[in-house]
Amino acid sequence: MSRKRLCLALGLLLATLCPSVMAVSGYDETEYLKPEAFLHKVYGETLPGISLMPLRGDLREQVEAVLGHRYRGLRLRYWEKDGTTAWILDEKSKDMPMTIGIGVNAEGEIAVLELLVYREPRGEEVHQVGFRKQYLGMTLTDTLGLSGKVDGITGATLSVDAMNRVAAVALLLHRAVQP
Amino acid sequence: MKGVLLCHGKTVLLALLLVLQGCSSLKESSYVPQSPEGLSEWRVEGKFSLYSEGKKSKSYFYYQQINENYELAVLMDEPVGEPQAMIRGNVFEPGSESVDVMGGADALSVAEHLQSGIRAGNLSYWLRGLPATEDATLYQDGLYQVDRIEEAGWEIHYRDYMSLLGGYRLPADIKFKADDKTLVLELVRGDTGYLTHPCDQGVGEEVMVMATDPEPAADVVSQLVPRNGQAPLPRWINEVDFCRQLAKIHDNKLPDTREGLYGPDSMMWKLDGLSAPPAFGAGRALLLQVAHPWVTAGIDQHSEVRDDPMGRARRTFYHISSMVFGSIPQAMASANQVRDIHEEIDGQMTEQAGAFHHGSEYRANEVSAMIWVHATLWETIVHMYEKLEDDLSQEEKDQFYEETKLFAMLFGIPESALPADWNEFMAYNKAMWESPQLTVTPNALQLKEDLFDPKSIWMIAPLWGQEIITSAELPPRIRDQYGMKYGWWQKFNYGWIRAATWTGQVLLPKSMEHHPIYHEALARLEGKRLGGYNQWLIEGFFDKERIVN
Repeated sequence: MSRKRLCLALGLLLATLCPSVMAVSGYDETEYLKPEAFLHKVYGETLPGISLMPLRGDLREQVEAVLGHRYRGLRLRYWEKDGTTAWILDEKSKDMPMTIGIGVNAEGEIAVLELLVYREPRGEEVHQVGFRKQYLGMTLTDTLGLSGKVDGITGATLSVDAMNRVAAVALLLHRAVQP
Repeated sequence: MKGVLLCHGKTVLLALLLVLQGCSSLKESSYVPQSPEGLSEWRVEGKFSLYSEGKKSKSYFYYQQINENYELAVLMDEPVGEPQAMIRGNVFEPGSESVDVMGGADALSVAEHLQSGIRAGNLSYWLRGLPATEDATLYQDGLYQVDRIEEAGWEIHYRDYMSLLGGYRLPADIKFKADDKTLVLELVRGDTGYLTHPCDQGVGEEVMVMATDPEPAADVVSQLVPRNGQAPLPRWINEVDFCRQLAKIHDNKLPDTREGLYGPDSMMWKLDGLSAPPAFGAGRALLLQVAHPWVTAGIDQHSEVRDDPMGRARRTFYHISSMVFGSIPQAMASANQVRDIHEEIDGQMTEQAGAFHHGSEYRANEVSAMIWVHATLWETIVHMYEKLEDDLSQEEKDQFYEETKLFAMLFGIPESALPADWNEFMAYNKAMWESPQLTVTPNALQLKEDLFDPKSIWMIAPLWGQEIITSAELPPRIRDQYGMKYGWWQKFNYGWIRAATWTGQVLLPKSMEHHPIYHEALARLEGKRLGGYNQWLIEGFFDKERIVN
């Protein structure tokens, strides 16, 4: 075989091999709900505009205490209308963050909790309705914890823990933006 | 037509690849990015063109934010280099901005023009596609991918985005328009963390300072491979050990954080940057690893290898590439991510396996097991380089081995736990090959079968070839335990596979001797985007827009 033909053959081989590799996504990711859909669940048809809150001082310390680790962002984006706030937060379960949406009503209770994006190959059972329902109506305790007990899911411990942390943080942030 | 093909083989091959590059299915899969609001340590690099007050300024620049403090560095004509002027400030304190000029009148003129044209503090948000204030009007498709922002008199158009480490997508091409001025920013690359901290395990500096590395054993090889055939005493790697090792190589302790752990003059890039030796050695290294019963138990009980072998392989290559060819922040990010994954891998041996007793505890983050996995990579790459390319001198092997110690530190392995030099390292490898610590269990055999089982018609030939190569290159005891044959038929096939590889290396363009990640790392050093068929190959094989840029 001449060198030119060999060259072509290798090129064609490369070209035919690639599609089989490319059929597999490099991302373990499931998007359960778009942010807009989550916000409509919290507020109905008319959505409020974005509000921004710098995360500094005592509030940052409290947030980091609830999370049990440093919070990287410098400010938070949230939505507010008639005392109801909505938060979309990322929190790491194993090695990639999941995105969780939480709506807190004017009474300071969790009214909506949705898993928007899950980015791990395991542990996504936390998206199940029966599990998420446990959080509804929960409030923040004086020790910055959840007012109720959440039954865990075997095999999804890290994801459950992450969701517990985010739920408590959302309640804390809600309290911080109340007049 | 035939004549054209025969006369211009290389050109035709490149043209073919360029045509394939145009196929949209070869692009990175779409994903939901993480919120850029969550970035407190980040940096982007590129160039800007500012037209205002009848004046035009152009310069390369980088913008870096560490917590509340930002730096806008004017680099003038060099995409990578020392800042010629620096605008500094605090995002929450607009009056805090200052300008330092190191590069003379031209740099001062550009910096002042830029500072008068736009508030650098607002760029902290606009460069991430975020509104600076609640007064902004956003036009967007997804929550974190805006098309346009109207704010502070500017109409900001986001024309392209780039994928960055950690699942972020930041703007790559931005045009700012106001009544009498225009600013165009073209971004090339960015870092999304680990600029000031080597690890995110929450370990304080004072704790790390108090801890010390263990003293090296009198005979490290006997410590790792006890002569009585027993398993070595387990030494778990905790968070403090891990962070302490990372801190040794982070934060400007190496000459150039952009170059990463190694750089183009290193033996690591010389050996690992070539396409053929790593490709030929992949099966050998993997089966040597899997012959360690802890590795097999971890994979069997915790990994999705069987369900998604390609995904698992890509993630492994991704992290190794990031550590070897990435910048320091990229290497640190992968080290932390791998540590998090390994931290969840522990359990009990469900069977007696060589030196490891039924019911005994195993963990991924253990020194001896980690050293074995580490050893298979570097012993294999030298073995395959000498087989396919050229012999290495003792000095080159010693230098290479010293470099691999930095890689070990990314897993929290202290230098004192490693064999001292290349010769001791090889003595360790040979002792392991004959040790009951390497025992092919039924699970390992199944993994071997899965590895060489082509899941599609396109993988039959490559996996058949890989099995031949692996049979040829495994140490005989391990090959026999895997039940792999290396008779006249395998020797014959291995002979022509090697001959074809050598022929291919002669015929193919010189640039194809090195794999795309090596080229991407070189592009990073030059402050450029990768592009071309190397970009296409990275997106095709890794499903990532970038690995080390």
